[in-house]
Amino acid sequence: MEIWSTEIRQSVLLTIELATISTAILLVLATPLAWSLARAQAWWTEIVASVVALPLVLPPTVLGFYLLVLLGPDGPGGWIAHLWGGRTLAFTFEGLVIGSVVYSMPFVVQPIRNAFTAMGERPLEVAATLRASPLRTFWTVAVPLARPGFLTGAVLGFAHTVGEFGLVLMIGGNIPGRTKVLSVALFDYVETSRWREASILAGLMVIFAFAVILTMTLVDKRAARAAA
Amino acid sequence: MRSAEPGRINAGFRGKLGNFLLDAEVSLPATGFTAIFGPSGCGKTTVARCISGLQHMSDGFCAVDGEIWQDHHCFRPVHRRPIGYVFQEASLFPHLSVRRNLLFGAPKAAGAQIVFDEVVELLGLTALLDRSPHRLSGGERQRVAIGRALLSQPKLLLMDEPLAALDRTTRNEILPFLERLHDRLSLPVFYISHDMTEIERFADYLVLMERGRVVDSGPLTSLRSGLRPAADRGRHGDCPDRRKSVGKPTRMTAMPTDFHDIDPNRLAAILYRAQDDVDSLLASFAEALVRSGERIGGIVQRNVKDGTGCQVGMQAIDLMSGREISICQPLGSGAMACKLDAAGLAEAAVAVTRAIAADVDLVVINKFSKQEAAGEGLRDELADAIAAGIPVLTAVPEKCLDAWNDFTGGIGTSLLCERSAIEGWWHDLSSRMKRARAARGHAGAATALLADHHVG
Repeated sequence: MEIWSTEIRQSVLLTIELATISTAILLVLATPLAWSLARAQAWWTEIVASVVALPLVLPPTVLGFYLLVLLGPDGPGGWIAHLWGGRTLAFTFEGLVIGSVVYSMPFVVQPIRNAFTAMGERPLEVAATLRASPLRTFWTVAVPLARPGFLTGAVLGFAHTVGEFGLVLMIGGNIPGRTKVLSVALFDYVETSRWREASILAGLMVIFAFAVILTMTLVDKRAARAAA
Repeated sequence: MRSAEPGRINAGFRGKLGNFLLDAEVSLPATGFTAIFGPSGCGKTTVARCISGLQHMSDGFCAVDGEIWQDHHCFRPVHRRPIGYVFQEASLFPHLSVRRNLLFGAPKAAGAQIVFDEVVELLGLTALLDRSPHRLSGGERQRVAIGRALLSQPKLLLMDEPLAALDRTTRNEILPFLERLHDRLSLPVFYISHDMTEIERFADYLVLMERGRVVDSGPLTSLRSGLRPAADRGRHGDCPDRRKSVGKPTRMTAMPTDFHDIDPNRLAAILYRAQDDVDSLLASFAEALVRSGERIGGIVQRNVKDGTGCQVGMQAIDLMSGREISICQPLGSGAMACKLDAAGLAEAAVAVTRAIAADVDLVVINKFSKQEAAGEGLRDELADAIAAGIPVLTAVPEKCLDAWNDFTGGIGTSLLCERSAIEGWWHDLSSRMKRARAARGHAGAATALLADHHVG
């Protein structure tokens, strides 16, 4: 039997696609969120931060259950799906993307927020005294200084999207080529006693996890060197 | 003062920041170097931050050269104010090269008044342009920060203790650059500092601040003589001004006649030898009195020691406010003696003058040593306190005894460097003063004088 079967290739590609799109959306949403959490001094800051951090603590199945309700035909997801003639966002790739974004948000927001906090007020004040508008300050000073935070956030967001299982199972089902990502495929193989495929997938995941951790460590090291 | 005038900088800010009350108004010409001087924590930086817009004080007014930056109706955000701001730490952007740091605030359009090449040359930055800020020394960084602020074409340059975070050598390396700036640019500069030596080198105007208020301002030349701050003017009118006749900065002056009518019991000098820890003795004695509620003032010194008990510095403490007014560096590595620097001296002078003005029951001044013997240091303050008739306790090293006797004309009491001797003297004196005061209370001023003389 071929190692790189169509089935395996399909789920690997799907996973990469899902993780890439989710990470891109995550960065777009998390950046302003992290910025306001780092800068705002209002009383509600920590409440928002806690809501964002919920997926860290909630069992993925709980999160998946609520998302299923929300994305289903009777929730707002169904209404949105109607716009292009669909019936529901559950059991679709789009639904998976939404779920992944919610699930991985804390892993992206936290490092970026920390990076924004760590730089302190001073560089921003300096930029303001040099006539830089708040927007220019953000793009030319805050974002470049927070680069290690962005890298960490992106890597963590990507990795968590690749690794999620419970949530995908709840809202994505198990549709080959559409929602059947690596972790679900692995579960499937084990359930049907296809050990060979299962060990290929599991091995791939181990290599991937190792690569992620190594990258993170190297990024951290570089950031520390740059700061010294 | 709260109006916009061409050619002037008018600013006033009032408000509370935590426990700190700021109530400062200045009106200065929009040319030349203006130094804002005062002890740390007096609000100098806050004033600069308010002028720059980094701090928004709602009750504030700021107009520079006829343009209103802040009043009741408007508040121009920082990035719309034509200022340059040099912070205490250089705060360069670490992700940009020196050149890009310099150009960060420079307008894109041509026709700038302050030209890149000129600034680079003026501040000696040519060789550094393509380096990263990480590869610069502290002094180089601060020079880049100054250049960066200048290239943003400011109409007002604010420098907040730009040399305070640097060591002495680096400071001396930058000072000539600042002097060149002063000579070459017509830009008005507000220079915040607590170091008189820096200020004296290039300031044209001086603003003196104390506890959130401006106590005096004017051209440096007219204020320099009165740096024993503002104290003499107005507020302390009732303290006799004998400075003209005593404590002149001449070595070994003859005995000043002014001390003739001073009660000799009211002046005590602890005679100590090099091995005595007179600083700790005086500090603990004075602090015990403060704790027991006695009205005393002046300054004592506390040695700062590291873990191994080796002296690494010195702090002077204002007994009236309890404030640590200055941290002095040791004279050299391993040297045990410390010396007040110019700023420390100025602050100590304020502490003593305030104590005299408050007519406290005892002024402690640590100490009369080599500097004072040479006509410098706290000599004038000692003379003021003695002449005011307030009990004075000081310390004199044995080797300066002759100078001390020349200074006082031989009056006063000498004490052994022992706690019991000092306490004995104070106990005698304070009970005598209390009796005199009680007598005065009962029988009027004339009797009190008699009683005092009788017992004395």
